[in-house]
Amino acid sequence: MVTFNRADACAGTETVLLNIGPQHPSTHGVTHILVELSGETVVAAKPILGYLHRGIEKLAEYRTWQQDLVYTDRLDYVSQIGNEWAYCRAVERLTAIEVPERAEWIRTLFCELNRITSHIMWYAGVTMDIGTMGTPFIYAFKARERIYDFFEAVTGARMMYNYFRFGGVRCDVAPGLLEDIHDYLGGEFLELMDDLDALLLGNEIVQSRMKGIGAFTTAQLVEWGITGPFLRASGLAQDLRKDAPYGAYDKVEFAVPTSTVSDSFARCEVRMAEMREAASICRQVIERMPEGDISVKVPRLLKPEAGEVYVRTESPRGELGIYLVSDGGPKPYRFRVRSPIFYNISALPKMLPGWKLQDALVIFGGIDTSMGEIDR
Amino acid sequence: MFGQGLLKGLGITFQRLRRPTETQLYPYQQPVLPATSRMFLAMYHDEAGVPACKACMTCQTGCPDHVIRIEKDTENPKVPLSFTVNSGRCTFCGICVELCPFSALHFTGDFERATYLKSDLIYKLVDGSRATGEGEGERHGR
Repeated sequence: MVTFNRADACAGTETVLLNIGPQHPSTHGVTHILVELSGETVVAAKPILGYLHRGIEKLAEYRTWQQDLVYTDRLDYVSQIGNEWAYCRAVERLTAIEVPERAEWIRTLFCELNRITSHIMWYAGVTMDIGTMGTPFIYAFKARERIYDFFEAVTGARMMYNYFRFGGVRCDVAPGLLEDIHDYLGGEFLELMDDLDALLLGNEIVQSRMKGIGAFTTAQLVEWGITGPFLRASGLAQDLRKDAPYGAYDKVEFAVPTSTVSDSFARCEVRMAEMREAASICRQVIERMPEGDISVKVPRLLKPEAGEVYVRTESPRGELGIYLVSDGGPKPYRFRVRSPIFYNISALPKMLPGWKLQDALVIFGGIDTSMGEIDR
Repeated sequence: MFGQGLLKGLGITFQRLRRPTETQLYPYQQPVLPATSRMFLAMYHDEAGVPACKACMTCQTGCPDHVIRIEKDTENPKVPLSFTVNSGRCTFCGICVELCPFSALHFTGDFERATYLKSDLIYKLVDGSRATGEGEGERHGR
């Protein structure tokens, strides 16, 4: 039985318990939030998780290090490459595998392309949340489909790429395709981004729905363990690509978009700016990618020495950490994922009370959830 | 002025309305897939119809989801008697194709293999037939 603290605002009237989800159009997957309402105002909220639990962390303990790579795609199925990279970096650190220069650049390219598609998914979700009925959603998905075509041409799959390998990537990218990506991100994509900006940020109804909604201070967000664009929109430029660079991020120039307003609208602005920055990083990477090997030879049955490692990467949703423990065997002793959205969604009981129900959905949309990573 | 952004949004919609449609008319038009596409598995055979598989079991042990099952000939251990792929469990990760030391496996561009029965998703790659009714197939609403 769920018990909530009744707020004084109820003034003697009865509150209503409302289940948002787990199958609700605006919950981004199978999220289930139990909210207590006093009239239209949220008094208490409690996220109920576990509908998409597949036991990936446990499955990983029964498979070899290489086989686990397949499962990392399925953690956050909207930013698959980010998960693969985090896991590969963790194993590479555990086994002291050196990654060739070109492979690092290719990884950076595809991670940023994936950041764009992931943010497009957020864009589609948040516009549906506030009731735009599909127009911006479909326009944004045009870019996503186009980028997925690039992914398919290189990796052979549109969603579950399984592209990274310990010590490199599986196959090289054709030069013609690199040119195609460069041309697309420099032309048609930016044109589309202008339209998407105008449809979301320039729309007065969206502005009136989002401005001033969900305004939290930086201190609050840090206390709740929030990372990613949600935190950056409050003015704190915390980005692991700058703070602890990996891949080729220290060799390309990019800005970390921030905002000082810290409301739902600022989060939209930050994410839209991040998509442009990601496109700029991709173009720089393609222009300056060195020639060379794309992978090193790694034993077919990897047996890292006993030890543990924790690696942090900047996923599109925040700080993604992979913690691995090896006992010297062919399988991980422990595989633990520090999922950014799990921490973000855990702050919902602190975030939502006091806001109207429709505002609560807007705040929730700003988190950009992907249940696959929360429930694992 | 309130409403300017709305009008601009409408303008964008009208502009995009005039552009050529991008809808793919699947299944009337088959999509052109890149050569790298990871769809259903197939095995190479030589002209005499002998499979390229040497029953080394590398793919069976390497598969993360235990999709592949190989039975060896007891007299000639380099010949597979049967090579079964349970496509219903397959995640199409491509590890088997990558691991095969004889390059016997490859992906085809074929993706239209929806079936009524789970058991119909089990394929025998060595003699090329569909292993209907084999394995732990489960009946679905028909």
